[in-house]
Amino acid sequence: WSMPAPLIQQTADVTVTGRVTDEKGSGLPGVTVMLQGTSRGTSSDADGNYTLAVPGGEGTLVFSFIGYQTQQIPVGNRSTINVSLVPDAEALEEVVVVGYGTQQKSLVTGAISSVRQEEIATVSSTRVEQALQGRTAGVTVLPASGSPGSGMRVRVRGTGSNGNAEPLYIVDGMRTGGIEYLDPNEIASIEVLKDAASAAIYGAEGANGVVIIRTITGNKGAPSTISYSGQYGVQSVRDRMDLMNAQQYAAYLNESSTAGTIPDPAEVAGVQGTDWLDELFETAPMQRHSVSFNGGSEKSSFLVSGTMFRQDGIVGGDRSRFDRFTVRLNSDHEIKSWLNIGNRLSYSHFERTGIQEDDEFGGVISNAILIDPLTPTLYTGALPAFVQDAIDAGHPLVRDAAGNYYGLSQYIRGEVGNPLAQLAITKGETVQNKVVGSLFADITPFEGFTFTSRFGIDAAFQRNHGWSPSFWFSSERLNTAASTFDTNENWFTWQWENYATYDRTIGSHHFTLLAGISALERKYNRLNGTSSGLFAEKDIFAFPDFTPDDNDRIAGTETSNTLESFYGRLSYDYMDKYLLNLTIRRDGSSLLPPGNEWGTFPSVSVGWVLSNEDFFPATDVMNYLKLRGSWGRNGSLSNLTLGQWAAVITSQGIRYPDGNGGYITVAEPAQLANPDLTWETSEQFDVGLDLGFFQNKLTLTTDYFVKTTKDLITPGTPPRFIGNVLPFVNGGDVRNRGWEFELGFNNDEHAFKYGAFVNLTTLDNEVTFLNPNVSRIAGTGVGTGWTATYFEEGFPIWYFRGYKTAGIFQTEDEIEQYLSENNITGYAPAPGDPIVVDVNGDGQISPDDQTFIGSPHPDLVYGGRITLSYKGFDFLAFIQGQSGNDVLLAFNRVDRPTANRPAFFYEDRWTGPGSTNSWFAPNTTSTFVYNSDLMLFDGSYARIRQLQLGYTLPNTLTERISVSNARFYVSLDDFFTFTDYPGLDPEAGSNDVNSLGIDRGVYPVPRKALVGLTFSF
Amino acid sequence: CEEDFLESEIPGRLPQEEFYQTDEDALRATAAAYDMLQAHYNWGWSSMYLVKTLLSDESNAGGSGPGDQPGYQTLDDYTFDSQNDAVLGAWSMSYYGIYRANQVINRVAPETDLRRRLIAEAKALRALYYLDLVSLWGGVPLIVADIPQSEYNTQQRASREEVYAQIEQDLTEAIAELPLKSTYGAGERFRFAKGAAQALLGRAHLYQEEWQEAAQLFDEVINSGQYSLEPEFSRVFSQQGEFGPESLFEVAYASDANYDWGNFPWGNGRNLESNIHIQLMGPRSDFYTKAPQDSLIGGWGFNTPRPELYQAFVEAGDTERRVNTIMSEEELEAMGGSWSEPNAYDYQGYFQRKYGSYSNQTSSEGGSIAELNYGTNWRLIRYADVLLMAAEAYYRLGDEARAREELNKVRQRTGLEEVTTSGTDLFNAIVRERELELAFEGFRYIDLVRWGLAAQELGPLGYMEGKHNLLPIPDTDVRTAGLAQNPGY
Repeated sequence: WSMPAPLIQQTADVTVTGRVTDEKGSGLPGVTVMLQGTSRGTSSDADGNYTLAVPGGEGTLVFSFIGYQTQQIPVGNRSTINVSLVPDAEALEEVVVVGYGTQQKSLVTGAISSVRQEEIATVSSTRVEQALQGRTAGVTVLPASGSPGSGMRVRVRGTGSNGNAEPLYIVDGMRTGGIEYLDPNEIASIEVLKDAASAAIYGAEGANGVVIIRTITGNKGAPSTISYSGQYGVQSVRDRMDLMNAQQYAAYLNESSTAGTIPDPAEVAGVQGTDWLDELFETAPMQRHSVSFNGGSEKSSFLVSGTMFRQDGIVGGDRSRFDRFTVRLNSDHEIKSWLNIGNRLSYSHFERTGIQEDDEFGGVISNAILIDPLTPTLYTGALPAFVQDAIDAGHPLVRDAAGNYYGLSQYIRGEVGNPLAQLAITKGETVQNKVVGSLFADITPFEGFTFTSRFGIDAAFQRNHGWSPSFWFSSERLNTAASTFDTNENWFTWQWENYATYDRTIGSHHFTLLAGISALERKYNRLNGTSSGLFAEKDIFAFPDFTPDDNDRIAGTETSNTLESFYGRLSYDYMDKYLLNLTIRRDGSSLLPPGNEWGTFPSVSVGWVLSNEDFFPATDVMNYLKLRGSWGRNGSLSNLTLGQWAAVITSQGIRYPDGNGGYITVAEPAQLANPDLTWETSEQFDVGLDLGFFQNKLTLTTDYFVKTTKDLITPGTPPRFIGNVLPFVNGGDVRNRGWEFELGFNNDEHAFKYGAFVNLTTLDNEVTFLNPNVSRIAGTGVGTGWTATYFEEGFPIWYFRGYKTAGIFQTEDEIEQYLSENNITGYAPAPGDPIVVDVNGDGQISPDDQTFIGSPHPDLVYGGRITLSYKGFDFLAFIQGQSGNDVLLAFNRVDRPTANRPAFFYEDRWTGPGSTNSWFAPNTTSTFVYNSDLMLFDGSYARIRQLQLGYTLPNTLTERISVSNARFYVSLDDFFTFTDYPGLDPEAGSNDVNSLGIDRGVYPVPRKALVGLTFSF
Repeated sequence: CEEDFLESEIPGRLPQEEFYQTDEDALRATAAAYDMLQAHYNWGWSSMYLVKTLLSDESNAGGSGPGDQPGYQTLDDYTFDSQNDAVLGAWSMSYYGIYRANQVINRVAPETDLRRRLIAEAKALRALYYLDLVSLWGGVPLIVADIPQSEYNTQQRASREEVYAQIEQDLTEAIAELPLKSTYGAGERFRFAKGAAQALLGRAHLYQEEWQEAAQLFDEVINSGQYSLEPEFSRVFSQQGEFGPESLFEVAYASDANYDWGNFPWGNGRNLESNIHIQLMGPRSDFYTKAPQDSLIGGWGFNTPRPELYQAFVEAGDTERRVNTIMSEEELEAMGGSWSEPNAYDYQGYFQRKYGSYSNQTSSEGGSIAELNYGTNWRLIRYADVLLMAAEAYYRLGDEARAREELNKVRQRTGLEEVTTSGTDLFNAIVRERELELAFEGFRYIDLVRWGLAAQELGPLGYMEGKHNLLPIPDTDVRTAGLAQNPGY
């Protein structure tokens, strides 16, 4: 890249070309080649070749590359300069980011996994969390939904709480509420602190693991560059489940003798009807662009970047869209030899529209499953009589833009509405502006000592605005007066960290000491309101200013809490052989009752680098061996809210009619006091082994961990006769344990380079203690009247509980035999019904017989990546999966028996003795079918996350247009999924922590076909 | 950092020890004890109303099928156990009400007339809650003060007699302080008046078969001049009849809370102002088409009447109360309405009209959804019941003339001929009159049990004497406090 030509050319440029190679003679791509003392420079191409115009052929070229010693070579009027770089032993040593500092990887005693920028630079995911999926052992990521912009559930080493178990996110040294505001292109590195000893420096908030993210920065003394990265993709739904067609639907309802208005199979013979899922899903575009400007002098560096991301939904198109823009300014300055200052500043803006999801009652996708296939999407001709009747009755039926009425079902009503009509009346958007930034100063008054002060804010301003037109689907789903809704929410967090590190080597003893204090305050406020009576049902009138004031309702609140902390760490090693880390943190939180605010969180970890011992055989095979062990204790505040411990009076939301058209004010004792309330505390024990073979071409890291989280915040269980609720007590323990393996292999010695990386985690989750006052804590309801998940000692967190079945009754004789053998009375199944097990042996089949039927947690999660490259071509395959978890098919409704169902309900049905012992005869109402293990399916899956083929143009070609490292790629993301789960998607989950693995009609994760381009100049 | 850096104020909440100081505090605190009745009789698919009603032979559970609110289904079928959520809800909310009454009784200093009256109201409410408990569960824990956490699991069930003694004491003290109904202003008629407390105390004595005390209290109500029967039975349960001359005590609901399908407080029944159980009990809208001139609109089809009840009205020649209590499918069709599914779950051809889903008791103005805004009050104590209880007490005392007199007042209002019988026939006439007059008001099951008629009347439905005459103590309290369970559970 050349500077713009000066006005007066003083000396002629001499073009210098050459090739940069490594110590073995292979071309080194990406090497920075600078003319010393100028900003003139370039970088080598994929083969190591470079070209640089040098004024007058004078000066010195500086070749620098991470991991290699920098070389300076005078030009001396030569036009060809080849250079071979020598590896820098020190720099080769990978550095990992830990809390409040960095550590050489070889000296790390904790369990830390790292993800580098190049691994996630071309992902198509909206969110950084999703990019973490499958990349490291011990981290599981479950999207709440496949809809654009939806949330993620990240678990480090299993689910450590019955409530919120999200890890703590530290971005550039500051705690952030989440990382949804980051574009993957802004990220330089991600470290996941998995064991307690690594996370203990974050004390009261580290119990669920810590994710440390560093954003990209400028490089001091490097040539200024402009980089562009972009991609465009088309999303579609994978092979999806079929629903019963019209004939199957009619047959199923008739064979099951379903009550109500049902179609006569004879009248629908040959009719396929509407395929609602086919009507609902569409292909949708997505695109991402980022530009960054990176430069620096010897004393200062800066990075300015901007990104944009837009994704439309495969359901609803622009009605479930996510748009995000981010801007970043990171700069670093050496003001004095003893003072560095800098800033990290990010602004992000997102706009999200969404459809109703994760809801077996009114969700768009669940309604597309439930609505009957005989209803047309639209009426283009004459209206059926029952539709005309509804219109005549004054009901505002939904119409499309052309004025045609959307189809109305005559078989299934209630909350079920035409899903296309629901999309048509979805009007709302969430807009968030967020600023996350920090300023810092590093003061180094003497060698080895650094004091850091860092002040940061995380401020988010969010508005949700929308309105609901008048509509009518049924007497139970309608809106008679168009209404608006607005919610303004603001979050503001400030944090101030002050810490000092002192690094000293005395003989063979190397110490690093860290001590610090921090304070933070989190504030939140909300102002929301509704109004109704729009002047006209149009977007421009959908604001409270344009509705009658009498119809306005307003609400709002504000709250804040504080955290104050002291922390320290000693890291010690003796001759890089014996390693020790001690950490302690003391935190005080205003969320806890007086006298209980403070907690102390210690940890210890040790390591032994056997390969540095004299007795370790010096072979070519194994070059590195380290044993690690750690123990530590961490807290979690995320399930505590202000004042949970206090006995208080409230009049919020309550009043009593005085019988005269008015209301009197009520003030109720809201809850009983619990002055003993304290944090959730996790204790974790970890042993690990790090191995390196063939000069670290092959590396293996393995860990075994046992993490026990105690004092979970569980519902208080005073006897009911006490007469008030005790909302929260510390009443549960959960244990996660498992093995983790990370195996990497890399060979880049030849033109054909290849690498493979595999990670694998086993997880075993069990509730080991529950307040003995309660047998089990009820989780989420499914449909009407079934609680499907529970929290109970001896079982995984929020396991599935329902009726257990043992096949299908084939004959009356078999039924009689079963009933008499088990002395069962009061239960009258028919052939084709499931054999329900009398679990409690009381001779009745009753709700008491519901029992453990499955777990939403995988036993095994894994990821694997293969990279190949030859000359300019590169190829990436990335697979991720899990096994051993169950998914509950929860969108069926026993209270809406005329609803449609997946086709396999019909195709696999029991049709007579001997036909099948695994699926029941047509049945639309039985709780023994729908609230049983028959609705539970193996949720194991393997998903090919990325199949990517790229080509980097040789710089010799692109140099003429001053462009370097131009790479094109095509990619298939999330394209292939292997699973036996018969629903829409085994992966997409739920927003609620106690609804893991419950499919209420999930928004599936779309598959994407992408093209991308990156280049810099 | 500053000294108070770790102190954060709790927005919108007042520490409990700072409350219960002023007259206004006392008013609001007492209102909380009334307010719990709203939820208690209405919320969470575990209402006291349906627990009492489904145990009777008046109706089936209904709904869409056996999986629709299993707690109600199993109550109706007598297959419920100690984990039944409706039983737990009714039990819990009784005690939530008692807790609130206790706070007023124990924390409000009786320094003004107003506060003395409010304490009396709280005592009457506490007695109301305990009378439900003792008549459904027998002896229960007698909680009249805050219990320290350390003593939660040392509480035991008091005897039935001890619970009744507390009820009697509370009501006796309340009666001394409470004003006459007529002295309350229009907006205060939801409050306990002297007559309501007397009637409740009479009911407590009646349930204990203390006939003399019961009769005397009913006499005081009858002679107070505060109450009378509505001339038209149809008016008693209408909106116009709310807090009318026949009303001694009602749970108030309102139809102006503007609920729609989006803002209805499903998850928090303590915030609820409308009576969602009316919607729950409306004819199942999947199959029901209302008659053009009728205001009974569709609902979710719970609490479907059994034919025997309709037949009982027919046999008694009682048309006025019948048409205001129950409607047959034939009558629906005769009016121009229809029912499309003869095999609908738990449907036997009849619709409930006493607490009917009438469109004129709800509101659909300004975006409100009619289904969610029923303002229908539950009538917990009304004058007709007082007269019939008086008749029963006098019958037991051997004063059959007086028994017939009170009985015939109720019959006269509905146009039935006077009862002239005596002995067992007279008692049976009282039984029948209570069945017809008080259908769907939650008395039938308790009456049958105390009369010893439950096995005979409810046996065919699954009732087992010695077990189902009491409800199970909820499993959670057996577990947390070691309470003794009732026999058979």
